[in-house]
Amino acid sequence: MMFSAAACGQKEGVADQASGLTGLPAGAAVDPETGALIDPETGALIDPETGEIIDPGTTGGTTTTDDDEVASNDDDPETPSDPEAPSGGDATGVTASTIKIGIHAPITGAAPVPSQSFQKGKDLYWNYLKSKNLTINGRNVEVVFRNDEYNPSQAVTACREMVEDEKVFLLVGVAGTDQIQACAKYAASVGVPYVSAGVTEIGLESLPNYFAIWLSYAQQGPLLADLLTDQLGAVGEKNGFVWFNTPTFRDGHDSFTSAMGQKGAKVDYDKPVAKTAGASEAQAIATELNQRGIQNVHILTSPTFFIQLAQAAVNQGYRPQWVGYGLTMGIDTVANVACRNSRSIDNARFLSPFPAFVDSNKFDPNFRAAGGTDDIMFGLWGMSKVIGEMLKAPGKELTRERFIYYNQNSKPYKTGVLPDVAFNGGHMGGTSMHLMRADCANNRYVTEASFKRDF
Amino acid sequence: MRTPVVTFILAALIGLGLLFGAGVENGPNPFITLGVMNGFVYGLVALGLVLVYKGTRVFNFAQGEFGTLGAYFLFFFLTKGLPYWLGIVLAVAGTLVIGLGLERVVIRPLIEAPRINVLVATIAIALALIGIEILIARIEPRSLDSILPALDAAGDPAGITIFGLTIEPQRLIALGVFGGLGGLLAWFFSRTDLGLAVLATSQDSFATKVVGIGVPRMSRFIWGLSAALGAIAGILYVPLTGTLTPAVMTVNILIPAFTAAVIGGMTSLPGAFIGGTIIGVVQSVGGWAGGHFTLGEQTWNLIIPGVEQAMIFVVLLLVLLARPQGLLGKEA
Repeated sequence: MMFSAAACGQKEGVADQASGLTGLPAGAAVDPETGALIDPETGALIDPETGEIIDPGTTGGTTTTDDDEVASNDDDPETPSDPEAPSGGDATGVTASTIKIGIHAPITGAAPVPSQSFQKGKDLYWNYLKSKNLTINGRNVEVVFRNDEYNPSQAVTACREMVEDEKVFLLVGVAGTDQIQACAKYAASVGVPYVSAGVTEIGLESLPNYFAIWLSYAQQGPLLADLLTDQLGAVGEKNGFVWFNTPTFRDGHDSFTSAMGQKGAKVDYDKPVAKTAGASEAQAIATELNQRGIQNVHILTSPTFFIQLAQAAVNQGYRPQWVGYGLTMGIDTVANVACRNSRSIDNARFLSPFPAFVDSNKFDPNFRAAGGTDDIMFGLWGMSKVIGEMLKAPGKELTRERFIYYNQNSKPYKTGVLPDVAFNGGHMGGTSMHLMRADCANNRYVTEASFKRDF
Repeated sequence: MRTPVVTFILAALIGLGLLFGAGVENGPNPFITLGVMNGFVYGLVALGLVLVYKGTRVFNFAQGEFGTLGAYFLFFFLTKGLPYWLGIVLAVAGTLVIGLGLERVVIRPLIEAPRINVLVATIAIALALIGIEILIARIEPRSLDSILPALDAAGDPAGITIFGLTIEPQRLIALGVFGGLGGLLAWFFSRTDLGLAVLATSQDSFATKVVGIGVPRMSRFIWGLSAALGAIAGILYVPLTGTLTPAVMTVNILIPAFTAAVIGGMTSLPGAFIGGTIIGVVQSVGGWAGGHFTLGEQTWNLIIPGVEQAMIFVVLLLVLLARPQGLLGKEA
């Protein structure tokens, strides 16, 4: 029996999901649109913090549970029937019982991510499925991981190794725009599917094998402008944009400045920064922002540079409203350091593809039950859930050609952690984002809003 | 005689810049001030480079990592609850011991080898230290507290404001320490027997052996002092950046410090500070100019990415064309 990946309404097993939440009705599922819990009997939306009913008449919503995970324990799943779908093809990395995938990410370089989080998080979800005897059409997923050192040429080397030596079925880029772009192009040259974080669209949109599973920077630009103008009062205030001057940020830059203009807000300070910039440049830019009285700053750089800039700013008694795109600015490692520096990023707001770790139980209690201990792991968990859906889509006959075809033409994937993913015949699958806010009282990010398509 | 003249000219140029910048809306004065402040940090690291160069005729690529190590040692001791002052003493001492150890294990065996071998060895030391930092401290950034907080209890800046720039207490302390160390080293190398012995060793090690000066002892002294200077620079500078990460001083400081040392003249201690000040001011004012001046409808920095870096190398080129040995360079 073919398993239905995206389900609406109450499902069996949701009681297990909500049972760990104190004071909430047994059997409540999570509504990914609002983060609220859904009463299984009435369909009412319930505030997970207070237990109060938000919307008594609403029904629907989706969640993921042991039963409606992407995985199934059915050893003989149906193959989707689509007469136009390719038959056969390259099944490298796929055996009767396993699918091997390769992940690259920066665990050294200017976007430092705790390496132990990656080591543990890269296969947390897949191990969880295994522990529950759940599979992807009868197969388990094995993960190969490489550090790309936040360096495009190193990223290509890592991807080449994973394709040629490790024989992975597909590649996954977690973070780092230039690295993702470089690896995706390499993957296209050898016909390997490439799934990545939402970054630039430049040079990626036309790649037949490429899939971004959350909003690209160009798509996040209008959303961020919406946040600034509708929620943060940017119209009539002075706004700045500090961005690494790399070609891959150009579309993210242009979409934001254009959207700000359309919303009646002006970008008064537009500062490209060399990717090699360090603390001295950060101090000069903070001085300039302060001198010009910029109140809202969109930051699109490496996290390290952002921390340096925020530190230099707060040292001068200058505390602008920091905002930005997801992903790396909104991780707890950044908050943990920057908040200790005189709470330099308090109330900074960043779009994010996954909710804050502190809120993870509201979105997917299975994550912590499986041993997840931080937000990096939660992000990887969310990515893995989407990738699981994608691997499931072609059915038992999993080849690279069929993977590409079925995912381009699939229905939306709903996982409850990452926003819904729908490729609609293209390659950019993101539909919405979460909004994170730096909570410097606790040196972490909290989820301020979820699954936002606008503000 | 050249040192006072060059110092005077530099001070006059900075003074003129401040004079013309006064009253200009969004003018350069805070950037000139920031440049001078940063220049002293570059100068201190450049001082360590000059010291090793004077003693051994080698560029020490590990100098930045002595700073990073010092900062990590301090971070470690502070997390163990030690008082800040004791943490500094132990951090400098720890870095000094490592500097002496590296000299004994890596540099001393190469004492008679071609200088290029020693240079490559210093690169290897730097890479090894970065690797060890990643291994032990991991890659995640850390926050290293300042000696004095940048903000007062009310959350307002605790420093003083000069020419529109708020200067943090940490930076003022750094300024004092760097200036004091510079003076102390200048006195040491010109007035003490040990200082003169170091210079003699760098000029002719065979002759110094003949007159009874131990070359290994001089090498040990130079590397120990260089490591301690690097540690002090790291301890004072890293809290200003907000992030303590592996290789933080190499990434942020080493290249400007090298450039400063070359502009100042690789053998001149005052030259290190003068070169550092020039680099700091050009970098900072270059960044300001890049966003301030336009060509057509676009600011310079949109037309020439990294205009401030380009200006540094233009200055370097001009100095080397006019005076290849650097502004204050001469044979030791």
